[in-house]
Amino acid sequence: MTAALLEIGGLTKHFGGLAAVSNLDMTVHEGEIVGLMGPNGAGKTTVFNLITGLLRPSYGHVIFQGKEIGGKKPHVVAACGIGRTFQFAYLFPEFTVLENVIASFHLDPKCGFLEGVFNTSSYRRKEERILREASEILKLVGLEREKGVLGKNLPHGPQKLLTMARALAIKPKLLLLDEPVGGMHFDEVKHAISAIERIRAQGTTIVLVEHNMRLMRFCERIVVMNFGVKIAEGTYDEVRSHEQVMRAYFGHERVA
Amino acid sequence: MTEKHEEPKKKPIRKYGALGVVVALLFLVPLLPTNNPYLMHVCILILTYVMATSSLRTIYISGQASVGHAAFMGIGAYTSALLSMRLGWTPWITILLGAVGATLVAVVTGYLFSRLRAIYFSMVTLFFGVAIEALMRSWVSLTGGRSGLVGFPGMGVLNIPGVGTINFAASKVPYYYLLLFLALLTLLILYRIERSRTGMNWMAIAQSPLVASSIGISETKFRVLAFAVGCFFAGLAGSAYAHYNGVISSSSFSLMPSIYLVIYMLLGGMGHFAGPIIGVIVLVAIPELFRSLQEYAPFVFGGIMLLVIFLMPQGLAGLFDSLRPWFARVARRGIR
Repeated sequence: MTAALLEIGGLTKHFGGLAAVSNLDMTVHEGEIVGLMGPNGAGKTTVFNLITGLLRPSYGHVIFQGKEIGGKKPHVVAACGIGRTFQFAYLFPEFTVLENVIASFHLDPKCGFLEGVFNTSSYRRKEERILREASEILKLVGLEREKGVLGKNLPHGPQKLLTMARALAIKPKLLLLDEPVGGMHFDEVKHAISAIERIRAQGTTIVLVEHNMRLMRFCERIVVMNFGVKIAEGTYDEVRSHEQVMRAYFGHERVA
Repeated sequence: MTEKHEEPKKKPIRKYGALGVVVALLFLVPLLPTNNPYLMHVCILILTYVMATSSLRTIYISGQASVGHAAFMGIGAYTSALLSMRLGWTPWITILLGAVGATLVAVVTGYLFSRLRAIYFSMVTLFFGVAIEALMRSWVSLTGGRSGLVGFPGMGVLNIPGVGTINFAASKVPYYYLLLFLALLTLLILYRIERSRTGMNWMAIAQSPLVASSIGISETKFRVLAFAVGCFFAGLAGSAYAHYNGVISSSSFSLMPSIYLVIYMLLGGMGHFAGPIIGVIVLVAIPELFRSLQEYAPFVFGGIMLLVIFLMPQGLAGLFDSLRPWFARVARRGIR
């Protein structure tokens, strides 16, 4: 096994009296694709928000590449190399598809304020390279034909693909995908899954939250949560036949 | 970026030709046969407000609706005036120092206010503007209170070898050129910043702070930057105008002027770089032309504002955009 990229230990988040996540342990190794599964309200998105700094953990630690990142600001976490998408297709509605991706290269060149103002030749070269790379990313997720369309005018499926492209633009070591195929129709799901396969082929480590079982089958390892607690972990087949998982999804009676 | 589609590269002459002609014409304005001090005064006023309103737009494109911008003009004006009057420094330096002073205040307040978004940000900037005006009015020993500051040393006589002497005291024309130079510089710099990655980050934050943070853009940093840049040029406009006018009083930097700046910008259209320029020209020139009706100006402003909001939410600059297809149709019909 390769080194642990992300290590979550004893992670707990209380919202008032509610423990949205309690005492969660989870490890993600480099190059892995891990699924995070659970019924609605299980705390999956909360875990993502705790990792990316949108929420501050009540207890526990989040260690990324040996560094504690729990409680750091979101833009700092992004700079560490964690890209994420959101459950809803949040994007820059007034930017075109291409601009959405180009804007996401903010971290890449560490572009100076004055460099841009004076439009120096090194700045222009950098922006040309970014334009090329952005086009490649759009090709990777299959949006190269929609380049000039405003974000807000895209249909829901391509919007979600765009958010994935945006997260890729920061060249993440770890990519967190929150329901990447949620709300998509059948063809779009196929399209998205092949995009995720291509991203994975590049060696990006992925953690994804999803309800879609077709996508879950594709994960090497699945962590199942219910009411903020990890109830199972294992391969797709192991998890599927796990008694507690069945109970969480289908209730006690059906299992018995 | 304002471009929504990739345009084929135009030759520089076609791209910048019209702009060059406009700038050249602006330099020729004082040579008009109908030139008089009053026309110069209106032009200088317009240039000042173009600087102030364009810099306000810079703050707005980062998603911060400031309603206290005139206060920063005031900070610039008072800083510059006091340095010149009390310490006897030349206005050529203190104009810049006034802008720097406004920027320093903007960095501190911008940082404090950056915790707030949307209407809450507008509210604190509004209160800040009111507080600064009250300070200018009440700190009599420093600012002269209600009667304002008078007795500026003036810009003096500038002796440029090869060009000759320029006497700023003799006419308004040198001030016109000074303000024109500053305004063009302001517009150039603001345009460049807006089209650079910094401008893109500002627009990204305005559209979604959440998404912007997920791609590593620090909301606080870029919001403070936008606020500071905007206030620098507001301070520059304020201090340059102070030395031209020779008198400043706190009422020029109170709440109403701040609101007027917002109105100029909204009328012109926030979505366009040229919006503030159009808005200022229309709204400063019209009241000056009908000076005898000046007490009704707020009513006219209010009426215009309502019309803009209901009929053309994109402002006058946006109107050109929406009329473009119509123009194209008319032009095509003309050819046939």
